[in-house]
Amino acid sequence: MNAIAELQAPSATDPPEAGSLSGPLAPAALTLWRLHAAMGSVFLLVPTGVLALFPLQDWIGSSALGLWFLLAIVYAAIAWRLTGNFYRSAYLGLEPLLLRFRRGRIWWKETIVPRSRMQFIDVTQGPLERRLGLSTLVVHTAGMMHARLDIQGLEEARAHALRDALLATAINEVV
Amino acid sequence: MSDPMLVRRLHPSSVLFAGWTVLKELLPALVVLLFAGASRDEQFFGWVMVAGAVFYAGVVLIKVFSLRYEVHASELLIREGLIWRKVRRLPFDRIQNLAVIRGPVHRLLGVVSVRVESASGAGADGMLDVIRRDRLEELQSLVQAGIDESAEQGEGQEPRTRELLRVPTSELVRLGLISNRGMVVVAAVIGAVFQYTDDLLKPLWGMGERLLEPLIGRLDQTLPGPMVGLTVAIQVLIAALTLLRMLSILLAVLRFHGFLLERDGDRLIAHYGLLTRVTAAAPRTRIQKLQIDESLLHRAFGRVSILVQTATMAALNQQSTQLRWLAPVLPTDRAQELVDETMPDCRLQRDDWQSLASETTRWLLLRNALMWTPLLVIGTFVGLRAFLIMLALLPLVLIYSRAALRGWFAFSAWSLGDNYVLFRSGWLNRKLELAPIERIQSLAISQSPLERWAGVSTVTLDLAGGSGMDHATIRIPYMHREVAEQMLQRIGVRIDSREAWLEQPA
Repeated sequence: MNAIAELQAPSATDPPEAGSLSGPLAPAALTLWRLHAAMGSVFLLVPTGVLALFPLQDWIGSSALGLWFLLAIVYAAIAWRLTGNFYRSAYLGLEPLLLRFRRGRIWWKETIVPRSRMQFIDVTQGPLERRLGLSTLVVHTAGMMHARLDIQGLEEARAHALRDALLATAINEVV
Repeated sequence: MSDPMLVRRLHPSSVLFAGWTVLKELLPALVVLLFAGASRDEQFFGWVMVAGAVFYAGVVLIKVFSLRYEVHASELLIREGLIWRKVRRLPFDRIQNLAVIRGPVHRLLGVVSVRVESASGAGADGMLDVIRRDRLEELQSLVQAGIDESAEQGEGQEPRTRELLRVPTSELVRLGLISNRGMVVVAAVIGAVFQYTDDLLKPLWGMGERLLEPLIGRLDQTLPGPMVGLTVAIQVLIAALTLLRMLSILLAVLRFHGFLLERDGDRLIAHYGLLTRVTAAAPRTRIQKLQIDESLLHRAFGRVSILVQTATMAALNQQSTQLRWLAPVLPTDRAQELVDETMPDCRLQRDDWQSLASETTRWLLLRNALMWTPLLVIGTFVGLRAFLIMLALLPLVLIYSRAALRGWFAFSAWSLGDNYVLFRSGWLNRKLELAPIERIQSLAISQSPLERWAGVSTVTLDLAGGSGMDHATIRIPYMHREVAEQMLQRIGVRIDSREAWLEQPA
């Protein structure tokens, strides 16, 4: 299979920093996701808090409140666990001809975008991401179903370096 | 800029067509006005809408009367507007198609709607709504001459238009029998009737009873009681089925009458339709995917249907002029012929079909059995009898699932050629999808928990084009993960060794 051999051999278009850009996501990404999950949990707790302000006499009301509270806790615990799994499973690989993004454990998925198919590349940053020094790399293709690939949780500098590296080789082709 | 070779306005009857468009949008306002009256607020609201509509109509009229199109040496210019002027330039080398729409009203007035489709996408297209028939020929010849001239500078052209396929009416009758679109229409009508009015239904029932009465009366004399109902039911069923099939045939003929597929240089052009004549075209290089459908009925008639998905963005607003069918119906042995025209060197008869992980059948059976359990639970709540019925049905469901899954895995397979990826799937109704590797935009491989337990994965090859929910993708489920990863690696690398593709003979 010369195709595989071709892939392993470094090509002329291979940028020198390719190796260092590959690897797991930034550790701060886990913080980001857990903050998101915590916000979700707090959101769940809001009705509980409001209800708790009123004195509840009957046992149905109290137990419903208790269950709701439990639900929020369980949600937080599951989210904590899942974000950890997701973080450990996520891997971004920059290869000579393509970009590879693997993630998920229960629902595992790997997406491959050939460099020559990239139409344009964005780097975005939300307020929380800015605090944590993170950026999201968004790769757009001319496809329909997976027209964009969002890679959240990259160090700011790495996201920009990745974009530059991809731009250097992404020769836009006519669809 | 050089002087235009031709300057023309729209046909006066354009006002009618524009008026119809305005009327359609006005309808809500008119309805409000009609039913207003009670309160002053509603009346005021109605008048505001009318004022808005009158203004809108004025804008449309100005657009219609101010529009001029000019043919220059290398481009088509469309000017419109009085106060805010707009000039649209459509260079000949960018024009892909002059799509022509001719409905019954168009025919009556001897006019046509022309849509100028360019390679750049939805926004840059020009619409001439409407011009006289002979003006179209004039425009077509001038634009075609311009296109040829700009193309000649690039390379030598192939001989002009060549007929690839002509579908006779006898074939369309077959298509009607195969497709059963009549059922869809009838279901939609029945749904609408049920939704909107009971009053309409009652007289219908009455009419039905009156029609059936003599029949029942006659049967009454010859047959004992309980048989009457059954016989009548069977007769009604047969009559209904016959009517549905006839409706399907009618629809097929209306839609695809005189289907003609041509090749002009590198473009494929399809003409079809009885009441509304459609001309749809696409350059061969924009074809993303072919799908060859072969339902149970298709096979009974020895026919296939070939659908095509292109990356022309016109799809977003003008679906009617998009090339959708390579062949609505075609003898199975001619499929290769049409594939050759669109995807050279892609053999449909292959010996490198790779089957999928058929041992997944076990897991899928388990899943189906599990999906049945909620029904069992509901049955328990309803009563013992319901539970027993559900329980008795379970083996039947599993036997059917098993047959379906076995059949599906026996047929479904993928193949990766030098330049193409093919995937065939189905059991009773089969389809074969094929796409040039070169057209693939991104690749994905995924595993749900069930798939992981079964050791399989799903591969999704994303292509450009398609419309709405009908994405141009190829999705191959139940592949062993290692096999899938190898396949993706091979495709991922091949996408970039583009030379092989470019050197393909046209």
